[in-house]
Order: sequence, then C-alpha cells, then structure tokens
Amino acid sequence: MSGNRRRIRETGDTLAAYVILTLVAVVFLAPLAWMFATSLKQESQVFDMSALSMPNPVEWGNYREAISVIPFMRYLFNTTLITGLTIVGTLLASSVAAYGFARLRFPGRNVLFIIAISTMMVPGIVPMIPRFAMYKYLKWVDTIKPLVVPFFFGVPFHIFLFRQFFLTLPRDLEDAAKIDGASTFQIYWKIMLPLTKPALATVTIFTFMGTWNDFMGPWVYLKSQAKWTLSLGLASFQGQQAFQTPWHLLMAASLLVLLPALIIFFVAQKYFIRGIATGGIKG
Amino acid sequence: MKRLRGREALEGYLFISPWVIGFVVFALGPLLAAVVISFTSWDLIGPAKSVGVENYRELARDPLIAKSLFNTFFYAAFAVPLGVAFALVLAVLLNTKTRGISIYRTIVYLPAVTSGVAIAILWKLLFNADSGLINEVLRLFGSLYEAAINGMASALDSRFTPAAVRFILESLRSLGAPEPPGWLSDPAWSKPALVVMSLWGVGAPTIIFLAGLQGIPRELYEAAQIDGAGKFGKFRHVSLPMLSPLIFFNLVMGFIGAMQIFVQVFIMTDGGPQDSTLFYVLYLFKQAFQYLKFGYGAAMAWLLFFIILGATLVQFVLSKRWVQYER
Amino acid sequence: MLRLFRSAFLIPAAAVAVIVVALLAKPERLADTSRPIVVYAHPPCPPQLMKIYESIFDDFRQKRPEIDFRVERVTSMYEQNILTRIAGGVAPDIIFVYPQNFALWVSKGAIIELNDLIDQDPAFNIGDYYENIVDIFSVGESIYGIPKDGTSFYLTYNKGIFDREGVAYPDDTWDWDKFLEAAKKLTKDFDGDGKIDRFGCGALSWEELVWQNGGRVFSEDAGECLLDSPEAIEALEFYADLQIKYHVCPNPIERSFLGDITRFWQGEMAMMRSAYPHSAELRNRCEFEWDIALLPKGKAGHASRALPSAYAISTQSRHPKEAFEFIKFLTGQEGMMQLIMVENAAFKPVATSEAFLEGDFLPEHKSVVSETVRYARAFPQTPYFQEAWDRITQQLTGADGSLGPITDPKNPASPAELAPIIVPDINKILRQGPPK
Repeated sequence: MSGNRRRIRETGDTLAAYVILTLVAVVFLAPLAWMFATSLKQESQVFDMSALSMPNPVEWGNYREAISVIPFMRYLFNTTLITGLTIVGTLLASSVAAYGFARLRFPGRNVLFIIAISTMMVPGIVPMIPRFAMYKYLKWVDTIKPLVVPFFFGVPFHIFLFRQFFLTLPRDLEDAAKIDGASTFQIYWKIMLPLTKPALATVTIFTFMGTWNDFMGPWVYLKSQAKWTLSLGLASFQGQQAFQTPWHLLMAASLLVLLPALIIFFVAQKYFIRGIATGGIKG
Repeated sequence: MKRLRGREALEGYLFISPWVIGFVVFALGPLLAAVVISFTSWDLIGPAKSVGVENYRELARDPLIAKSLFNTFFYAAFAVPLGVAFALVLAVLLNTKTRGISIYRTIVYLPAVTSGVAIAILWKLLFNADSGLINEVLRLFGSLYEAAINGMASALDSRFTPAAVRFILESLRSLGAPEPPGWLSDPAWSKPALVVMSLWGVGAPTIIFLAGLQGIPRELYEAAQIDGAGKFGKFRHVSLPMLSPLIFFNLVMGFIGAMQIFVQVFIMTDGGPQDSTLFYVLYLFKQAFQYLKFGYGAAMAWLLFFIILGATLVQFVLSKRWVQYER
Repeated sequence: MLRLFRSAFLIPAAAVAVIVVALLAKPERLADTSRPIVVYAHPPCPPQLMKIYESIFDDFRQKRPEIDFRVERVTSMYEQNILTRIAGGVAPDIIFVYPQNFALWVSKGAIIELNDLIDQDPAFNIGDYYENIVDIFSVGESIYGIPKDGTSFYLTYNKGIFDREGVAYPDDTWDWDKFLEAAKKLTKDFDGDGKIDRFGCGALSWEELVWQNGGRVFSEDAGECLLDSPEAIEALEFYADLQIKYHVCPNPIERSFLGDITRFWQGEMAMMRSAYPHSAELRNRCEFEWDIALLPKGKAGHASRALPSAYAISTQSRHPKEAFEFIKFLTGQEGMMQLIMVENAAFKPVATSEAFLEGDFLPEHKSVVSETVRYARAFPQTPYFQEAWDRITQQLTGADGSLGPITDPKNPASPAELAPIIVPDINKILRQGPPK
C-alpha cells in the first residue's frame, strides 16, 4: 500500500479513535457535571423542573446550607482523623514487614509471605462478625479503634507493593551501610524507607481513597453521632421518611466529600496509576 | 557465619512481627472464630447457643440464599466481562501518543477514584425513573425519534411510496417511542442499572491494560504487519495474546469484587424492588446486623468464601487453555 | 543498652505500644465523673423541631443540675443504630422505642421494666397517659415504656382545592366509596399530556386499609400472617387500585423523587395521609388553608396505624432513677406543653388542654388528633417483626418508595393470587422459635 494512502488511513483511524473517546469522555464526565449543576439549583427548581435544566438562579448558598444542616465539620474532623491515622499506621507497619520479606532471610519467609498475600483473597465479610464480637468485649464499639488499629499491623496489599519496590532497589547502599556499622533497623529507617517515596505515595493514596470513602466500617462501629464520618453523614440525608430529601443540598455535600479525593488524584496521578499498574502487572 | 545468619533470621522475624501479631489477632483468630460462631445461634446480647449444623441446613433451605446468590452471579456475569471488554477497548484507544491523550486518560480514570456513598446517591438520582437525568435524556431521544418518524411518515405519504413502507411508518408513528425503563424501581431493570453503573468505574482495569499494551515490544507488531495483518489482525494476534495474563487477572479480581458488592445496594435500593437487588453480602449484613442472627451470618460468610474460592480455582484451571505467558 | 534503640527490637516494641495505647485510650475520661451521666439518644428530627427539643433539654438541665444529661442525635436508621449499640455493649441510657422493635428489645432483655420506678414515685401517675398506648409498650402487667406521643394518622386536605372543585370537605361519613369518588373528582391532568398534574390523594397505608376492612395482618399472638383472608385481599386490591387502576394516588415510581408532603405543599395533591408532626412543616410551607379529618372508614369502621413512641431505659444503664427523671419531665406537663405545636402528647392533661385544642394555629379541628388515638392500632408484638415486615414489603406490598408486585404500574400482580403464596413463608419466619 502506498505511503500516502496508509497515512490517510492512519489519520482516519486516529480521528475515529478521538471521536469515540470524546463520546466516552462526555458520558464519563456527565454524572459529575450534573451533580455540580444540581448542587447549585434552588430547591423548587430541583423539584419542579427537568433534570436537564441549568441552575437558574445559581445558588452558591446551597453549600453553606449543606454543611450546616448536618454537623459537617465534625464529620470532616472525624474522617480526617481516621484517614490520617490509617495512613500513618500502614506506612509504618506495611513497609517494615515488606522490608523483612524483601531483604532479610529467615526460615519460612516465602511461606509466610504467601500466607500474607492469600489473606487478600478472603472476603472481608468473613472475619467481620467475629471481629465485631471481639471489639464488643474490648469495649471498642463506638470508638474509632476498630477502624484504625488493624492498619498499624500492616495491610497485605501494601506489604506486597512495598516489597515489590524494595526488590528493585540496589543492594550497594545497604552493603555500604553495613560496613559502616549500621544496624538493620537503621538501614531500613534511615536509608531504604526514604528511597521508597513512590511506594509511600502510592500506599498513601490508596489508603486515603479507601478510608475516606469507607461506609460499612463506620456504619458498624461508629454509633454516637459525634463520632460519625462523612459517609455516614451523607447517608443520613436520606431515610427521613415523610420528610423530603433535599437533593440539592445532598449533591452539594456529596461533591464536598468527593473533592479531597479528586484533588489528590489530580496532584498525584502518576503514583496512583503506577500503583494500579504494578498491582496488575505483577499480580 | 552461622551467628550472622541466626541474627538475620531473628531480625527478619522482628521486622515482620507487627504483621504476625495482626495476622493472628485480626485475621487468623477471627477466621477460626467465624467457624465456631457459624455453629451457634447468637445475637451478641445474650450467650451463644450451640446448634450444630442447623445454620448450614438453613442455608440450603432459605429461598433468599438462592435468590441472593442468583442476583450476585447475574450481576457478576454481566458486569465483569463487559467491564473487562470495555476496559480493553478503552486501553487500545488510549494507547496513542498524540498530544492531549492524557486528558482523555485522566477523564477515564477519574470516576474510578470516586467511590462510596456519594457516588451511590448520585447514581440513585441519575437512575430515578421519574425525574432522573438518564431517563430525561432517553425521553429526549424518544421525542427526537418520534419527530423523525412523524416527518418521514408525512413526507412519504404519497401514492408513490409502496404500501408496505407506508404501513410500517404509520404503525411506528402510532406506537410512538418506547417508555424508558424503570431502572431501580423495576425488578427487571434494577440489576442492569447496577451493571451500567459499574461500567462507569472501569478506570482501574483500563490502566492495567494500558500499561500492558505499552509493554508489548514493537517488533511483534512489525512482524505481524509484514505478515499482512491489518489493525484488527494486529490486535487479535499480538495484543490479545500478550495481554491475556492481564485479562485473566482483571477477570479474577473483577469477579471477586463483584461477588462482594455492598454499598451501592445498601444505599440505593436496600435489596429491592422485590429482592431483585438483594445481593449476597447485603443479605448477610441484614441477617447479622438487622435481625441479629450472627451465627447464621457467619455460616453465610463461609459459604461465600468457598464459592469465591471454587470459582477462582475453576477460572485458574480454565485459564490454562487460553492464557499465554511469556515464553 | 543503647543498642536497643537501633535494633530491630524496636519494631515489636512499637507494635506492643500501639496495642497498649489502644487498650488504654479512653477519650471519655475527660468527663466529670462526679455527677451521674445519663445519655439519651434522640431520633431523626428536622431542624426546627430540634430547636424546641434543645430548649426542653436545657430546661431539664437547669431544673436538675445534679444530673449530667447528655444528648446524642441519631440522624438516620435509628433502630439499627441502637440495636448494634446494644449488641456492642454501648447502649445509651434512654432509648426512644417504637412499636416495631419493642418486642425485639424486650425479648433480648435490652430494656428494663419500669413498674418499680413508677410505683416508688408518688408524684407520677401512669393513669395520666392514654391507656391503649401504654398497653402497646407493656407486656402483660409489666410496663417497659412511658409514651411520649400518640401519633396516629389522619387525612390532611387542601381546602382551596376542595372549594374550587366543589367537593365537600371530608367528614365522619366518609367511607371508601365516598373517598374514592372525591379523589377521582380532584385528580386532574390539566395539560392532557398523560402525566397527572394534581393527585386526589397521597398514598394510603395498606395495613390501615386491611384493618378498616375487618381483616388483620398478624394474628393476635403474632404467630401467623393473616393477609390471605378475603377482607385483607380486598383491602390490598383497593390499595393497589388507588395507585394503578384509578391512579388517584401516585404510584411508587412517582413517589420516588417527590414525597407526598412535597406535592401537597406545592398544591399538587388535594388530600394526604399524615400525622401531627407534619403540621410544623405544613404551616411553614403551605400557602393555602388546610385542615384535617379522620381517615375514611372501611366496612369495619375507623382504623389507623399507631406509631407512638415511648421512652425506655436500657438494661445497660447505670443510673435508671436519674434517667426516669428525664422521662417524666419530657413526657409530662413540662416537656409536652412546649411541644404542642408539633407533637400530640400521650399525656392526657396536655392532649386535652385548652392551650392545645383551642390554640391559634392550624389545623383547626385539632380534636381529630386525639380522636385518631382512639382508633389507633399497632401490630402484635414479635421479635421477628423486622424480618417478617421485610418479606411482606418486598414480596407483596412494596416498601415505602419502592415497587411491590401489587403496585407495579406495568405489571401489577393480583393480591388474590399472590397473598396465599406469600403467607406460608411469612408464617415460617414468625414461628422460627427463639431468635438466633
């Protein structure tokens, strides 16, 4: 086939690809765009007019109302606290275990690692009931402890990610440090860990996404309203039978809750993508 | 030398000690306890009562177990293959190096980043049969369709048009556009609605496929080109086989995830209408935390575990037939 | 020794430290433990109503400063929340009890018998409360809950719409036929586009229709479901017909986005089944005059669903006496008097007081509110209520806002055919023996 014809065909292909992608992009963005539009509508417009209508007038006050109708700030504080603690917990515990699995030799290392990974295959609901019973006896129900403490003992997927990363680092630095008399722990803490910034970023992002949006955990364990998280707060907008759900406020509140996740995604896309790719390729 | 080895081993254990403690306390212990609890009848308020295999017998008798399993499998059977196929297509489309492609990539990954209650509520509104965006758009298409049919029927309403054509147009015109489905209010459409919603979140498998595609050596495509393969040929004979391990991975992970779907049904439908979205984990949750039957719930959890395990093993066995690993 | 800080022993040490901190950390230590703490979990409540409650709470704190009274708000899924708390060992002292879960909590020993506290208190007289409501919260002679309100349902109607269409206001003679006739006249599709612009009525409750027709949902001992009797089936058919065949009420799809109350205050609904707590919202929103009347009577007379609420004290409470003080306060003169605009008290002196009956606020015929209490019925007690109810609503009638087989506009099932099939399953649930 002549060069010209091929090039025209290729351009045609690329054009077709772009058309399809644009369609997909529009469909993918539409829900979020609609969410934003609805959050700016006045209540009467939400009830009376078509979903396709544009907000008129634009009611920025909805956002203020949304965060006053429920104790939004309180929920925000709780959610941030829990998320922060879980991130710190897993960064420490998962990386330390991963280093052990990656760099230290001990009998049973491979078996134990496989055990760690295979716990990922167990549906989360299986240990949930006994853990609830355990937490009841420990009097940890209605506290954030059940949601936070397990993270301080490592998360299998994060251990996996960290270990992958450690395996790719050259040994020379460790060897040099050993010669200088550093202990293994110092090597881990002062030298290796700082080198794993990409993995740290990835694990942070994954943990953030998981904990920030978590619903089942907080629903089961956080009972008094002062301890609720944002997901419980959003869910509480509904279910008040005989009273109309304020959809516009709910959309505004939901968007506020999504915002941190969206921001982090935009800022740290690279690490997020790399994390998923690593998980997939090596998985 | 031996002392150093011994010391390294000790340090190894120390490094993984938090994981070991966590594993015993939060994983192994509960798993064993779950077995024990599944043989009791317990509401967590009073003492547990041993009931032998009664819970498991009830699993076989309870019509809602079968129903919830059917619902979950139905959903997985559509959501997972469709999702993987869609992700594959998207990855191929996104695998161009032109400028601006990164914007598209971002848009495709974006929904996968959002999750949880906010998204469930959003889609509940979108699917509202009466006033939701989706049906409003469908009704719009419907009126466009009707206008087109009307136009055609009038324009072609002359003796020059064959009677058959006129008849068809007239019938279409009197039928009008079909009503949009009831989605979450309709037992027949509630699961399809959830499948559609899941397709919105195919960002993660897409990324994996994209990474995989970018790892395929160019020589293979060039070789195929020389053999006379066109676009689709290259895809079928190079991309697909090279990606097959990742396709397999996404199918397995997708299946495991689909079997455990919870937040969406809890927030959007609570299992309705008419138990059409009563998915397994939701039913388990109701039994344990709403009816306070924790023993039965534990038994249900084990059943789920074995089902997932069995299905995954089957998938592994079948994969030998079609997945091609590196030579 | 310094070696230790650099060594790997730090790791398990840190893990142990986390455990120790987790076990010891008790944020509530900040509390002032000298006064008895009484925790009250307050159910879902719209903001304007909450303000009134807050002032009652403050009143109580002022009058009883020796009690450290704390309020926790549960803004949704109240019963679920409390149930898990009871199971988790962190129940509040004072619980709001509804009839649905009352039997469950009693059977699990979650709430205490109040007879001793009642007898030992000379100033308190249980006879001041409506007897049929106290009975709902008692098991035999043992009283477990002190009623707060006697909420029951009646018909609220838009006087303007009735006047314009020349239909007489609802009154005591209204039976199902007269009701249907009026609803038909009031239902309008103004622009002829096939969508109803004004409904004659909002959805009625199927259980009330069953009672009004002489049937029952459950047998008296709650061991059987009786929805397959001819009276019950007739009532279920009427219920479905209102929404589908006659379409004078919105069907579940139409109600999924806009609630009945929204349509009513927007003037798009002539009549609505409602209860007294709705009045606050209606006074705010309605730009027309409205009034209330009893729900239409069926073959067997009037009946309405009692959704009273009461206060109970949990068995996990360490200060039942102090908790009882609050209960007396809120349900009696001091509390309920402040709530007469939004709640109809179960406390007779307030419910029959002049301030309430002759008060200058809508609705005009407030006597209807107490009258409905007379016809109010609740379901017989069973710890399996929730499970049986879930079954009935999913398989037969439809849950609130969600389609059921008999109310599916596209393909409504026939109650006469469906009920006999469903009833045996419900019976199995009701007879399953001591709760698992």
